[in-house]
Amino acid sequence: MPRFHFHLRARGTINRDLEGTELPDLTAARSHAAVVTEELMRNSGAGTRHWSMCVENERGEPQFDLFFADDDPSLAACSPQMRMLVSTTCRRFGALTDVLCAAHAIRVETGMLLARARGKPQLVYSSGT
Amino acid sequence: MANPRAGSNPYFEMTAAGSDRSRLPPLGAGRRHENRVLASLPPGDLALLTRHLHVATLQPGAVLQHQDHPLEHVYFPHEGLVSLLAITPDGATVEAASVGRGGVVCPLQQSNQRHAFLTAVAQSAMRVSRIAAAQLEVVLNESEAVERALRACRETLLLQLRQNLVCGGLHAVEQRLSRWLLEAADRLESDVLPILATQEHVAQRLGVRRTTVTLLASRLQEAGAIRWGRSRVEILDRARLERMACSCYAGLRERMTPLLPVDPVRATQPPAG
Repeated sequence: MPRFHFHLRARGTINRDLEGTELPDLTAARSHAAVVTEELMRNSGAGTRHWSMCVENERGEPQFDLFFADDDPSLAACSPQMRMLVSTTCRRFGALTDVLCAAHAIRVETGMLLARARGKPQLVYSSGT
Repeated sequence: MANPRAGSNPYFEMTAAGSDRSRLPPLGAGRRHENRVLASLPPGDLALLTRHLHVATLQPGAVLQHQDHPLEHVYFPHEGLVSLLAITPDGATVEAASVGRGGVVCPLQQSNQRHAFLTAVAQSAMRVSRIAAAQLEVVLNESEAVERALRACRETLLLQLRQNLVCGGLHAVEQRLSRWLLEAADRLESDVLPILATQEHVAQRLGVRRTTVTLLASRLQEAGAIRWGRSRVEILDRARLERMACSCYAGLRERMTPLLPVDPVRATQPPAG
């Protein structure tokens, strides 16, 4: 069975699902993502509204994104224009998070290359600040 | 799940009442029982129990009692953690309470048809003392101290049930996870939780998907509160983890503390003879 990885974009960081889950197909992966989204949103108020999930296959190829704001029941009372604005903003925020994480990774790698070039050892942290 | 009948159960290693006493050092003047409830009993009352207590070693995953099946034994853990689960017909689980060496996996119902209220599962390899439920009944009638101790245990289980009802219904999973880790550490009396803490395992206790636990564990680790290794979790910053937990953690601890067993006052006189 194919394995899917469900990564979470929260405030400016990506939490990775390294182990992944075996699921029969993409449809099952979408269902699973929806369930996990609901569990993360449950009783969280507005705290998780800007989060999103990006799902990859075992080769690391992106399959689909799921934006929490799209399924947030508390937004149902808002006007369509408001919901559209929230939806667009969350997508931009998700893209910004991806860029921030990529920039961080590049900075870390550059530091390693420089250290190696100077013949110095360097400690690298892969997560946390 | 394994059948709790001792003879055919691969998860149990049983010792007969006579032989285990010959293997363990005798409970003499200085040595206290590893289960804190038993250790808190006056020696005369404890003796009424020990003649019926058998020591067993449980393997991880051993089932002590099945929800709605006849209750055969009552268990006093020496170490480790026993998880009390409520189970749906299709096998989904949620943890209702947990018991370590500071408690007893005691009956909750008072009806004549004594059935187990919850399914109890050993979380790791652990030693327990167990007594046949029928024999415990007899001792409860003979000893007020034992009756009082078991009543306090029942109350702590009911308090846990009440708190988990509130928590599961009203609080975010990240807070519930933080709280679960803190309470497991408290019952195990250690900030390092061993093999029992795989993410799949914790997911079954909280009633959520393993993916959800993975993502939230990553957030807790990012915050510096924990380190989640291959199959163990270490609490690095207790204060931070407590801030990330819901009010249920502090609230329950406050209510349970007066019910926990206290160390007996040690006799100061030297033993006679």
